[in-house]
Amino acid sequence: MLFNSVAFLFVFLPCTLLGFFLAARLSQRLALAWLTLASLFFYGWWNPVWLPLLLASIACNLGLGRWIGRLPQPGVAGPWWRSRKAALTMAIAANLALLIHYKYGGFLLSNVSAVMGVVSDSANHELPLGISFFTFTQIAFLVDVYQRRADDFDPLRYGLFVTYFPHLIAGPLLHHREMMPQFARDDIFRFNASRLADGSVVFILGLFKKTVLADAFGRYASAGFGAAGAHELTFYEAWGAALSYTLQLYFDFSGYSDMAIGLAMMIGVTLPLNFYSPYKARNITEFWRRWHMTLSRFLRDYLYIPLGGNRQGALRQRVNLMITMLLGGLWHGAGWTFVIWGGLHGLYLVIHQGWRSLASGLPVMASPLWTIPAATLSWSLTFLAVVIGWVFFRAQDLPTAFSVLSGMAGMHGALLPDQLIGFMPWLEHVADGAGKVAFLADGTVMGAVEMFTMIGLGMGLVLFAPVMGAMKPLTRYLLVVPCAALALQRVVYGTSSEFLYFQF
Amino acid sequence: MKKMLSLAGLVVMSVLLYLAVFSVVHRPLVVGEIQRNLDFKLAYAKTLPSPKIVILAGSNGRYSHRCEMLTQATGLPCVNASIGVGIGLDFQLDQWRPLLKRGDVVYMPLEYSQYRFSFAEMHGGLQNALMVHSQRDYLLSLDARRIAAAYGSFDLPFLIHGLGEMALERKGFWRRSSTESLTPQGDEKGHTAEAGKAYEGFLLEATKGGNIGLSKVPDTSDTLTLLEPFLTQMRSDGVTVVGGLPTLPSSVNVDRADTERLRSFYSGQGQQFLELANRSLYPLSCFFDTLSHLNEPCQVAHTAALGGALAQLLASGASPKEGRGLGP
Repeated sequence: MLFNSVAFLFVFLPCTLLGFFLAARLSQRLALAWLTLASLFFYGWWNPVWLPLLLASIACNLGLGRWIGRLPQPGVAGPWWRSRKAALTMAIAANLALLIHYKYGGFLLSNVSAVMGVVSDSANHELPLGISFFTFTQIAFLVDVYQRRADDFDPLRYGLFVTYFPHLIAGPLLHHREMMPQFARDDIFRFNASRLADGSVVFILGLFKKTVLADAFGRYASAGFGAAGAHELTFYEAWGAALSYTLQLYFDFSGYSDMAIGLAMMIGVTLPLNFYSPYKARNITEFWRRWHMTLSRFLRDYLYIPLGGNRQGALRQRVNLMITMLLGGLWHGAGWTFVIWGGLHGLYLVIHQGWRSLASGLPVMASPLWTIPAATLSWSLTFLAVVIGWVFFRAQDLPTAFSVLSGMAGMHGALLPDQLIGFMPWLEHVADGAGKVAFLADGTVMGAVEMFTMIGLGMGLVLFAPVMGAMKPLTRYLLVVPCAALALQRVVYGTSSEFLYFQF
Repeated sequence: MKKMLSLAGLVVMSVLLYLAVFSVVHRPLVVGEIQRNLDFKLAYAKTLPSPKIVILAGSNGRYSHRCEMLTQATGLPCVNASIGVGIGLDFQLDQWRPLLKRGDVVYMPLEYSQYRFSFAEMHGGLQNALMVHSQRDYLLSLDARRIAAAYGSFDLPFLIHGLGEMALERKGFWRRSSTESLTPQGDEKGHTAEAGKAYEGFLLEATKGGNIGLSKVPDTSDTLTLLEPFLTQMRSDGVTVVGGLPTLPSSVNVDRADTERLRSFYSGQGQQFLELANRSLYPLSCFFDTLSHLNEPCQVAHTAALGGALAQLLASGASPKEGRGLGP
């Protein structure tokens, strides 16, 4: 079920909230059970076939967590298999095996077959929805148990922690310790109209980002990326597609995160922030502190630091960064485009590390005259690097990605509709005219105008609008006036489109 | 509870603001032009005696057909009612139905895609904005869901287009296709091969990839469901409907089974179907700005071929017959 569907907004959500608060009058555990059942229904609505897998994963991980929790402290004598570390290793391996089987099996098989020169039946099978999210959430839980940072094994609260519908399918990636105490708090079981209103406002603004902005950018991006495999994109077509996807992904994921936070707020549960204006970042390290913050946190805490982090010298730190980002890329999808995207970001981070060491010794960096140009230059460079990365992230395959990039480099010319050039003659200095430019939005003159206007609007929002959390409540409420009806229009009369992060 | 009430009030304000904005913001260069086209063609049709020919299709109808040549071939006056594929077919039929009289001939070379449209697609067209801004009486005659859908058809892209078009109109922006580019009968004119050169690159790109499925005709669809009673009604009113094939490049693979499905559909309702020897397929050099718009010389050539075939069909005494009903 999609947050942006009529079924969710007008049936599922009201029934779930009503049922929760009514059940809470009888018993808090009944209310938790209701919320868990509703979350499972939400998950199963998509494809009930995967429900048993989700339930089995929850049951196994809870059992494994209890087992690890009961094992003696390191240093206590006993057989190796009774050690906590061995148990944790086995438990993580079991989770990864599940993920590899469903998500990476076809990819691995096709690559092994290609290397061995044999034909394989590696057709893409349907991926269990949210498997990357619920697997990583539970791996984090197991590590927390191992590190004695999680000790609540109540099955009902644990089940809800994993399945809680606002985060189940596309995050944020939650820590056991930040959710379990919230489900044990008395106040979440009491209906609070003020909380419901605050959560609804955040939800509406997230819905606007997704349905009005992200879906519009998605149409422009699809025109270019859909054609790039078979056609040579010109400069504006390629940049239009790349920037549109950059903004689609931002508003889609940011909108989803806002909706998830708003839904949780409705019953007084706080979800961690997942976005903090990432396109305002002036370097790639800052970008990763602002983009998909809970995944970055996961990769840092459970991969980068265990690999040694920055504790074993500069060279080893760079290797660790590359490994973390390559695996982070692979987490997003089983394909070489994702590996390259992760590798590119690893490389960006390594370059930035090197630049930081180098630049700290340059006197010009301390000059106040340098501050503004440096900020502009560093933001531009960071944004360009991110956009290039997204081209690989979005492209169906590597030839498509290179086709878009060659278009962005101007290798196939620069065309704009001649009517547009006729209306704004200065454009002839930067483009040749054509009756129609096939993959510039929908190929019409006004379609191109719409796309460029939307890109301008989108860039304005991502660069100058304050983050949701930093807005005054009154501002948030007032924003409902321009946003609610347009969002509702898309929900009722548009087609509900999936969130991009569902596929991960 | 105060916050909840405030939120409810803000949502109501949002809806009111939406309605207010979109009652003012319109699209003069696209939606307004459709209404002007429609008025132009309806006004001309009203001057014609019956029997007459009415060409009804998407934009291929007006770019690829020339009424005066059909008149020369058949001796019947003619109006080209075609505007665009994105305007709901039910809306178009409602506009023209009152003008169709006994003995009239409706030639319908609908684009293949039109046969695949669902009601949702048909009702999601630009006619929604047109009804809200120009045809409120007609809109109010529809059921409540359609009225709500029409008022709910405006989105952010419409706002951008609307503001842009209103500004462009003020500055005298020249639109390539308008009532000024039509013949008195409503056909497109002036789309010469020379003018079409600007679109050569676009057309080449558009033909890459094989255009698989472009000409697919389904066994059942909402469009066919809509057309079936229309054809039956026309039959009982003594109006001959002649199904035809839209113009496409010869590189497009038009499956024989698809055209036979169309023939069977029209004849199944007791109406006629006309297929030219070349199945309305022309070399790419014949096309103007899309893969369904012939340029003027080819428009003339196509209509000459069609006129002869249509005259022959009408001379053979073609008139509505008892239909077999839809299906095998």
